[in-house]
Amino acid sequence: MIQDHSSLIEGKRKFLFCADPEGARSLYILVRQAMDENVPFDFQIFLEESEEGFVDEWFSQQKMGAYLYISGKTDFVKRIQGEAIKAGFSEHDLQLLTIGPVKKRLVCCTCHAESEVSEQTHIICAYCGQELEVSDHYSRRLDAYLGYVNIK
Amino acid sequence: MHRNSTLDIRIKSIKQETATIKRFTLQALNESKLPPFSGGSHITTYLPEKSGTLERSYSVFNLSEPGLIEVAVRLAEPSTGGSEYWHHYVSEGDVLKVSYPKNHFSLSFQAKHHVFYAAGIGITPFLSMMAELAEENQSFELHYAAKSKEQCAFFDYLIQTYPGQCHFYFSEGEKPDRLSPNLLTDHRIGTHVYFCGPEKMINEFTSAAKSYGYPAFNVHYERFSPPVLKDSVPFAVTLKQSGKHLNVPADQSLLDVLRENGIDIPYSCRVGGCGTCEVKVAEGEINHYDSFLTEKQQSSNQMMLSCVSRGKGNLVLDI
Repeated sequence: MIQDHSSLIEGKRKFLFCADPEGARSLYILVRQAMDENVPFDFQIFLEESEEGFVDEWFSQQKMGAYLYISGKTDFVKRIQGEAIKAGFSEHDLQLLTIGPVKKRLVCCTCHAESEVSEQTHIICAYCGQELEVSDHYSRRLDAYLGYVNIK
Repeated sequence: MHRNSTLDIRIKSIKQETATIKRFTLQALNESKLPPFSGGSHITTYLPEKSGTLERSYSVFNLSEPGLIEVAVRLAEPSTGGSEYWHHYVSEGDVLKVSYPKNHFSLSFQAKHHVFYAAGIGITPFLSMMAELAEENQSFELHYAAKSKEQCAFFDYLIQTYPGQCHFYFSEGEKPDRLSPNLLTDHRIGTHVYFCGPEKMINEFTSAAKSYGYPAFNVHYERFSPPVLKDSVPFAVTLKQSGKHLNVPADQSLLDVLRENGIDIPYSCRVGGCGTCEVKVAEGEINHYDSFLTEKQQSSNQMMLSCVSRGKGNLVLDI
C-alpha cells in the first residue's frame, strides 16, 4: 500500500511516523526529509504492544492535513491502521509499509469462508476445495481480499 | 430510472424570506406525497417561458410537513430567465413540471465530522443535509456568510434548530465579519468539508483546502453555473462512427451542438459536476473545465464532459 517510500507525499501540513522496532529503519529517510523541509512531525517507535495505549488519543487530536506512515510487522501495521481509521484517517491520509511476511484474509467466492494467505498467488480453499486466485479486490467491510475462481 | 420522466406539482405557498429570496413550497396534485430525497439533492424545473422551456435546477429541502418539497430562489441581477420567472410569474396554485429529485452533492458516509461553508443562497443544499445529519445524530457545523442579518435567508430557523452549530458572518454593518478559508486549518482529522456559493468563493475554498493538505476525497462542492470561460474559442469535432463533422462556436457547448444535431447524449447538471454527459475521445487535445473527472482521468485524454469541456482545434469523438 505504500506507493513510494523514498519520498514524502507532497502538500501535507504535518507527518506522523509510527513504527515498531523492525519498521523504524524504513522511515528514517522520510523523517530526514521532513526535518530538512521543516515540516512538523511526530515520530513514535513502539517497543511492545502494551505501549500502544495512547495511540487513539494521539491520532484523534490530529487536524486535517496530517498524514500518517505506519511501518512494521504485519500484526502491528494492522492494529495501528485500525486505530487510525477509528480516529478518522482514511486511506487518503495514510500509507502502510509491512516488514516481513504479509498476512491477509481471503474470502472464497464460492463458499465465503475466509483463509489466511501471505504471498501466494493461488490457494485451494480449505473449506470447499475450490482453487482460488488471490485478487487485489479488497473489501473494507470484511477486511479481506476476494478469492476468484480461476477460469482455464 | 426517472431520467426523462417529470412530475406535475402545484405551488402550495410562497414566502418572502429576504428582500431578494423567495421560498416556494411544492405539493403533489392529488393528496399523495412528493418523492423523498437525500441531503444535497436538487430538482430540475421546467419553466414555460414564451421563447421556449427554460430548465433550471434548484436544491431541495423541506422545513414544512412531510411529503412536500421546497426550493428557495434568489432573484439574480441580471437574471438569465429562471429566477425572474420564479419571482414574477409563479403564483400560489400554479402547476409546473419538475424532475424527480437527483443528488450530485451527497454526504460522505465515512466522515467523523461534516463542515458546511455557505455564501448567500448557497445555504440551500445544506438545509437538507443538516436535517439528515441531525436525524442520525451525526456531528456537523455550519459557517454561513451573508451581507447582513436581514439578507441572511433562514437565519431564525437555523439559530433555533441548530443552536451552537451555526456561525454567521455578515459583511455589512457595524462589525463587518468575513468568512475566511483559514477556518479550514482547524478541523479535526476525518472532517469532510462542503462548499456552496459563488464561483469565486468555491475556487478560494477548494484551493485553500488543497494547500492545507486536504485530500480531494474530503472536499465537496456544488456549482450553480458552469465555470466562466473568459477566452472560450471555437473548435471542431469529428464523430468516428458516422464521420460527421461539427463546429462548436465559442458561445456554445459541445453538448448543445451534439444535441442540436440529433445526437441524444444524456445530460443532467450541465455545469461539469455529475458526469452524465461524458463522451469518449479517440483523438485530439482537450481543455477540461469539469469538477467530476479525477486528475488521472483528465490527463488520460480519453474522455470529456461535453457540457463544459472543450477541444483544442479538432477532436475525434468515439460516438
